[in-house]
Amino acid sequence: MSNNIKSEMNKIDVPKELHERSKSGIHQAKNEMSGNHRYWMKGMVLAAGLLVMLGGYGVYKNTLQTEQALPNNKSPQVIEGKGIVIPAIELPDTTSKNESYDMIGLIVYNGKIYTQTATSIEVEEAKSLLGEKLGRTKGTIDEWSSQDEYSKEFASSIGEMDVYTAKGYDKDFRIMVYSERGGDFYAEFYECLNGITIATGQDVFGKLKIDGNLLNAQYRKFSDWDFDKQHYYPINDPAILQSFVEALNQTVPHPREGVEAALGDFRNDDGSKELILNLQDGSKISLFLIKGGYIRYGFTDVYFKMENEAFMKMWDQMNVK
Amino acid sequence: MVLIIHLVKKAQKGNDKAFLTLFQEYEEEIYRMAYIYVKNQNDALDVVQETAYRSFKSIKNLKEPKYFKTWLVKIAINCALDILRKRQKVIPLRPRQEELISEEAKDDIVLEITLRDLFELLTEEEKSVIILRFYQDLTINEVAGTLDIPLGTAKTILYRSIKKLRHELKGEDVL
Repeated sequence: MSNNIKSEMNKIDVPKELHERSKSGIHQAKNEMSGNHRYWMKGMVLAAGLLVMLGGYGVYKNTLQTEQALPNNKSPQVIEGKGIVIPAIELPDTTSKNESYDMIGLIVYNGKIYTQTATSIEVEEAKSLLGEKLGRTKGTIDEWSSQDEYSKEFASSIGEMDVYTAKGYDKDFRIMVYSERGGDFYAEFYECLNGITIATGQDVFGKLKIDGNLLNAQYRKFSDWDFDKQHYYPINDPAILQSFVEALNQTVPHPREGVEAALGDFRNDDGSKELILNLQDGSKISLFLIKGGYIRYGFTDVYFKMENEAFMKMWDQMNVK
Repeated sequence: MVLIIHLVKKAQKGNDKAFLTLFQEYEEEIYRMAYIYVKNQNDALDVVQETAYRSFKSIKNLKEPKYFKTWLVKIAINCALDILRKRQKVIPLRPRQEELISEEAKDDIVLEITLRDLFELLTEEEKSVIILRFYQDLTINEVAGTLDIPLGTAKTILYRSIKKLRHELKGEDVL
């Protein structure tokens, strides 16, 4: 009997993403145990694939509602009349061995740190976006790296990958990797959203080149995103979608902490929804729409407030329960 | 076992790498167990992720590191049952599979039917007892302890399950 049962159960195929899901669960728990919130962690872990330590400013932590003090931690600064200054990512103080750092995929290029982002691209479509080859990353950064490693050009936490400019995008903002690994090709954008000043949504959304490039959009319930379920629903009204996209550029940035304190718990189906903008060049931009008119993109510590009715019209479109 | 105890102790201090090393030893078993309950890949993967999450969060409460696996399996069963409870709110849509399956998929049909014979006949508590007894090779005493049920109850459930399976398997050697 036991042999029968074991042999029958062993016929159940194990999907290749199994181990990633185990890691995701553990990362969620670790992050929450560190004082961070589970839900934001989850999506990022799933998206990241390969995660590496990043200390100092801690992109990862700041995105994840950290309450933990970090060495050299710098929050966005509001400068009256100018906007919000997102400090450059600082390198980790590895002399503080007792600190526990979180991880994210990153590349050092041209003296700046580019990190994994909320826009994705399929391999086939990435081919046509490949621009100038900038170099090849060195997989030299890990949990035990010294500061020196972070200052070297093409140091990275993603192993050895070819790095290119992305056609049509500012290379000071976005670069991309495109490489073969074990017979499979792999493509991913990396963006520098630190060391910048954001006066309006234009300073971020403008760089995504949505205008004139938008194909369509889909959305996903928060719980489906949270459980990584591929249940997407189309945005059926192109006029509402267009108004929303145009309004993105006029949004006003606010520091994350103040917004979240005012919102209370919004990490649920009533409070948050994921909107995916599919562009003609194949890139898929993932935005989080949050009740009250807020929008978040990627791993910045900024929420964008959309004041006009475009937000509510779009929110009403995302009405699957 | 010494290595497991060492890793558990490291994990209890918050070492996620040690815990991942431990967990990945059992992740396939957990996935397959979960699949028996939830019967689809997506939910089974959710069970694995949730089991990893809950177990790492609570490993500091594990008093006897040598019982790590049994403890983990218990968490996995609870996660699977939680997902099933959530799902009870929706009406399952069952496509007429016999019309959808191609010639090439015949081996899969055999597998599916066999698994169904073994597990769709059983209630969730019967599945738990059978899985723990015959897939995890626990003694009936350990099964009772893992499920927090009296030994007599565990035995009753086990014999009832075997009777159902024996009847279904029509003469196969089930014991």
